[in-house]
Amino acid sequence: MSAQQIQNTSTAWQKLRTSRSSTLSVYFIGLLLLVALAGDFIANDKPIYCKVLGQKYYPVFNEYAHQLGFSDRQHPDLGTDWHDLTYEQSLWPLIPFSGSSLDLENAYQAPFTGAKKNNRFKHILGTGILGKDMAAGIVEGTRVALIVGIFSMLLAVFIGLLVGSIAGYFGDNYFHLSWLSIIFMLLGLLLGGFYTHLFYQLWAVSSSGLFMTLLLFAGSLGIGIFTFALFLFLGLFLDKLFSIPCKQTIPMDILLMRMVEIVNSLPALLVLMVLAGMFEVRSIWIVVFIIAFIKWTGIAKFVRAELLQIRSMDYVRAAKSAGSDDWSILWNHALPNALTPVYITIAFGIAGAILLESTISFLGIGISQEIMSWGKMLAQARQKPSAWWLAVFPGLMIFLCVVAFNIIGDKLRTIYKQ
Amino acid sequence: MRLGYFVLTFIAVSLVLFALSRLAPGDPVDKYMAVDEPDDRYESYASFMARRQAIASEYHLDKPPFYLSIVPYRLSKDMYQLSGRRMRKWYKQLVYSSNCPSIVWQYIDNLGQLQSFLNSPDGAQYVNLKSEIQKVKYSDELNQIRSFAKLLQIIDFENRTEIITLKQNLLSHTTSLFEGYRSGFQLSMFIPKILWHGSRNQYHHWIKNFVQGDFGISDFDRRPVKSRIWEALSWTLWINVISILLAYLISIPLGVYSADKVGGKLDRFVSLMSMMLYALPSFWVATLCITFLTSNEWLHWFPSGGLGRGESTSSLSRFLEIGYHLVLPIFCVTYLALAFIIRQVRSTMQETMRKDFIKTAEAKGLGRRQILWKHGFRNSLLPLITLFSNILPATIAGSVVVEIIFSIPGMGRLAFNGILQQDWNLVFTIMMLATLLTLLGNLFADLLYLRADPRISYTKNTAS
Repeated sequence: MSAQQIQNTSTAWQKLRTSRSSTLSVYFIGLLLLVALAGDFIANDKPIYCKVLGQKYYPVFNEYAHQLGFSDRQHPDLGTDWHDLTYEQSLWPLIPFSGSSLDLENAYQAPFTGAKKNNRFKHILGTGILGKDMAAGIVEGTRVALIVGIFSMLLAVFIGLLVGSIAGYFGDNYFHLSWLSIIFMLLGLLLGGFYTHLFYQLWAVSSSGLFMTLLLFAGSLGIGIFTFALFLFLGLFLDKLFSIPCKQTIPMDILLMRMVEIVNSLPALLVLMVLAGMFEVRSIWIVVFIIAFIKWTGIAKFVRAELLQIRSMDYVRAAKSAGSDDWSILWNHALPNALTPVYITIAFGIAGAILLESTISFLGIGISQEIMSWGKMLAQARQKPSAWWLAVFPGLMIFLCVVAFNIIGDKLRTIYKQ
Repeated sequence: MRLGYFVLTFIAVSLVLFALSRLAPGDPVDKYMAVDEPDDRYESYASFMARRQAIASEYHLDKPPFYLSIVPYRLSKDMYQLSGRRMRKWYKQLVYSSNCPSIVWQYIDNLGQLQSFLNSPDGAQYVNLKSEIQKVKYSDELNQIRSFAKLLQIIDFENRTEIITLKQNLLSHTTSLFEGYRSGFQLSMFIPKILWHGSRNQYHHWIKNFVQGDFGISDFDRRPVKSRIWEALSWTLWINVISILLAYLISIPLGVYSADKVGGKLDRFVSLMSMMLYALPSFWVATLCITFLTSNEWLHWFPSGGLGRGESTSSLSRFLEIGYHLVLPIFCVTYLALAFIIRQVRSTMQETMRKDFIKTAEAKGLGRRQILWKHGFRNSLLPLITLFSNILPATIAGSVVVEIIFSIPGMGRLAFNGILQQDWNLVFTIMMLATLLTLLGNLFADLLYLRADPRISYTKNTAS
């Protein structure tokens, strides 16, 4: 990042906080990030530190170590609930429950009424089905919402930037290839697809888990992409070798924008529901991938529009006449200047992704059963309409989160227009 | 030109959706067969397979998926005679791991015959083998195949000569499968070959039938998909059209008057409201409505879902009953549409009000009302009308959740139930129709613009 760019970002940051609503939104999202990162220390059904029968335990840290494979689970009386132990000393998280920990005696308790173990552990926002603590669920749901929002947008930005910049920069008239390269490219595409499929079929055994399947798929895709790249470079190399002129114009803009239109015309929510419903395993990452696949088009459109303008700017022409090749101009000069509108779409996109995720979680499709999310918590209200706290709190979190991201998006747009 | 794009995009979308539908879990042939294995309902293995084949050919499932396919050089067109996706996948997996297609073919066939025998009264005594064969069928795990072969070897079929030959065949096939597996790398597996199938393929039949309006039958209750969709469509359309009209009625005056003074009180209110509405998840609003307006503990003003029992005698009272049940759903869809429309009205009106002819009208000393409605609104009407064709698909997507929550038998609920019941034929037909609606909406909007504004053209270079 150059000094100029750093200055730009910091002024944008300052401008972002010029109005009260956007300042509030920035702080609110900062708070949510904090909650998502430190969620295990805010809501957990284990104490952070405790002393039982003279021995000290650090259960939350121990759980991390266990999950990373460094140590065994340490527990003074294996199998019992941490809530049932008698402590000499203990330091509990603010909310002494996890999103999915059960408290069967306190199902559907209104806020502040239910408590476990002689009022020791209170359910401050009430409980849902099987006594699941609402406050803890909201903490856990924050993590889900932000993971889905941020990671799906990261992936979408990657695809959108690639497609949008190529479409916008080269347009319909400036992408040239030779016949030979086109033939090699098509061949590479064909063979790449074939090998992806073949290796996936060869490796994938029906009984492997989700992680393994994804890994195998990524591996096969890697082989396919490698094949494609091999043929692409072979074609370009032969062009150079025999100095074949690049005369065929490929209308990149039309081709790529058709692709955008195809994805745009698919009904997003239905596609998400169907694709997430089609997988027999449920995982938050599957949802992330599908949302990214749906959402990249917005970014591609923005980047394309921006690059159409930038293409005819003087500094691009200057770079061109100085002898830089197209790809390095695109990467070094054009793209960095097209990033501002991307930030706007990211802000709106995260809001949209969170909405989509909570919608399908509400419908009971998508992320795995053990993890609590805002949408799932809200769905409990359908089973018990009289429990108003089930309907109000999770929905409010979704609403506030989406509003905050939208306000930031709006503010960024005004800054950008100035 | 624009029409050509429409057709191309539609074909591309249909290809994408078709490819997705092939990835859906479950095997249609198995579903229609109702029974998984050859049992006593069929006289022989041959008649069982004939039934499978008949079903597969009725739904074109015995054909290759697409016009052409790229397969390893070793595979042949014979593969497509196998009916059913699971069967084909099993065959392919076995071929990939053993490299010998012809042996795999016989192995699959013999295994089926053996199963047919085991399910017949004669074979009932071999319980152990019967349970093992279920594990090894559709399995590509070599350990399982080996352990099955070991079990088969020790079983004595007394003096049933044909079964004994079958057993020996199977054992020898298993041995050759393992030999093929051990021989390792085979170049012919990695050389692709293109098979051309012509129009006798699944996609061709599917898209042909779709265009002709024949959507096939539902995997779940075997009723034609078309009639199920027709029943659902009317509810969805009613809810959405009423909601959109209501949203227009509310948002037009608000948008027009807010453009009177940009940055004024009303304008700020409208922009704040549209942002809030935009961020309100419809499923939250619907849940809140159910919690606070339909339960006895708060206000019991409305029914919580459905369309009433339909017991009323006169059509008028039935109409009122339905209307009463639809109040909350329509409210939920209306605010969704409102969020879309009010933004559009506001920005279009503000743009029009900056034009020169407004200044002229102001200079002439016309009244504010007249300027706003007669000069401002009339000139921003066109984008608002074309908005309708974009908003309909959007609200229909939005009403999916509302329909599910209020249990209204519309398209959204149909699609949702279809996903839960794995009724993929129904689900993908609905997806195709929804996409078609969006594409038609875009086309309609573009054509309308074209007619209204001769400066716009969709020929080359100016296409946006």
